[in-house]
Amino acid sequence: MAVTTQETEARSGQAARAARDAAVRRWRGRLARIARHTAAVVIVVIFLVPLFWMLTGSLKSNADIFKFPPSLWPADPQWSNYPRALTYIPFWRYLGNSAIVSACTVLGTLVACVMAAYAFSIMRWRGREAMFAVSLGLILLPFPVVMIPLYVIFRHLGWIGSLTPLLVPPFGAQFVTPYFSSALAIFLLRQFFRSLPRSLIEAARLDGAGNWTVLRKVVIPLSRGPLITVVILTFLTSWTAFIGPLIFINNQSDFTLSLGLEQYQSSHFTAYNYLMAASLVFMIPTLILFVVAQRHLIRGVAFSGLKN
Amino acid sequence: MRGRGVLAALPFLSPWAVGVICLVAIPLGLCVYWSFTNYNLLTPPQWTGMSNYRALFHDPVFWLSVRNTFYITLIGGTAGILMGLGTALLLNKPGRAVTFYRSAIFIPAVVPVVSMVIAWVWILNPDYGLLNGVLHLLHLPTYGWLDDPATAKLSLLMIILWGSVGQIMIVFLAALKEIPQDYYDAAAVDGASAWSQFRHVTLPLLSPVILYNVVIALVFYTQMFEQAFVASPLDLGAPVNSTLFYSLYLYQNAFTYLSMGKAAAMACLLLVFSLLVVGGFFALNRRYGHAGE
Repeated sequence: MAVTTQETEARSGQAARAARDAAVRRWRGRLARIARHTAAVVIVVIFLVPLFWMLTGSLKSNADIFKFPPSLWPADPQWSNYPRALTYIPFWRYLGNSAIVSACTVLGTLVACVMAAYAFSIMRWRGREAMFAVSLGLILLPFPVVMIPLYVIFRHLGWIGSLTPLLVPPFGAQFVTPYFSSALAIFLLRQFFRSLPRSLIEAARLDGAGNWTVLRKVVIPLSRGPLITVVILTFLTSWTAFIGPLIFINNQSDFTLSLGLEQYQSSHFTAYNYLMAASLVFMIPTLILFVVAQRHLIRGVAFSGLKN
Repeated sequence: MRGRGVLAALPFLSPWAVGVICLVAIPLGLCVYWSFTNYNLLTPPQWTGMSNYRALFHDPVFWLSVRNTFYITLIGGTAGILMGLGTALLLNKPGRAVTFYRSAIFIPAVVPVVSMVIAWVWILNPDYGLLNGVLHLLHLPTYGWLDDPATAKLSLLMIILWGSVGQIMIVFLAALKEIPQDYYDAAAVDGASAWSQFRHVTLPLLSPVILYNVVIALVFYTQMFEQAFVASPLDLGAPVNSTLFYSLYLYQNAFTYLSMGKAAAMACLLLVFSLLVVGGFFALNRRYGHAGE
């Protein structure tokens, strides 16, 4: 009998202790969650303030811009800044140039990189791995190394003074910009092509399909996700590219918008409000892409880091 | 068998191969050649041996640009990785709020560089900028930010980090998702604290990704150009050369002074340096990268 009483006592003691521990743990969890969210909100606010500043800046009058301390929201928002900003520089012309350059970059990259990735993954040939290593190594090539010679070569070809230096290289699977190089696109596509079931390709081959048919009818239809990722990353890179246009575009009328935005700034005056307005208009396509295709975009960025 | 052999692969490879030869290999060769010549774009290059390299070694501005570049590479690279890893750890939980936080931190990555930098130039303006306005309201000391040689580099880093922490965070988040929950459960059963779980589970498994981010940071910062250029396009490196980085000085030599030979020599030195550093990191990776497995 005595033993059982002791046992029950011990058991109830244990239960009480367990309940107390659970309560402490619950509270600790709750506190940790609150602390986490508070920290996250502070960080997010810091990251969003400059964007908010661009938005309010686009609606401020010149007097408001140079006021100190600055006002968070203009007393009378200048919506007319928007139409004015778009005529302050040849905005639409530059936007058109940007569209042409981005379209060519995406198209050229797709054609050249899909073909190369096919050769690097589905086809078997001697020296394939060595060539692929060369392709990957190009990611690390510093842009300044090719920048000057390319400028001279393009000059000899008579391309300086037109948009051509930005339109042609993508078709040779080379971006004339230091970031997200086409090597990364080839790499991303090759990894995916390699994961495709071999049996599907062999089956198509047995039906008499050549490489072009296999690529068109089997590989491409199965690779929509990675292809969309490449299109998005390529578009974003070329849409916001700066250094390539800066060096290879000489004619003011050939500027892309990412370069032309500089014209809101002159030696003694910066039209902050117009620049902010124009920037927000320029960012509309990228923001739409960001909202619609965030999954693909993030997968692309993540992929590039993960698989190295 | 069909699909075998270089001949069959050649048509598929040709755009890429032509691109590599014309846009990479030939320019690379020209760059190396010009680094040994005196070349001003207008007259044919003249062979001068090592004189460009010798001139660089005796050029105080060259060494200043090297020092400036080391400074931002070290501080920017470290800060970017710590902030990217920190936010990734903080936001490595499912949930709608967390998804919003992640998007908010990533979104600066899609802002065009000119807009980003000029918006920040305005925010950092000592006389009518937002940051000094806030400091003034809080009765804290205000600074000259980009206008003061003492703070210009750090101000520039603030802009760069604002635009790039999100991308680093995404890479870390993807890597964190790959770590099986079992590892943490096993560690918790053994009584491991949150810190020791991080120290002995998370960190070793992340080491290849950390290494990747270090390499990317090195590549990015050693070539850092756009942000510093836009911050002061008419007076590169202002104030008083405090933001004159390697690529800016290279650009200045090439397109302002038309000293193509000297600029080519700088590019070649950068290439050798990158190869050495990246090679070193891959050797390190081979030795320690799989420590956690």
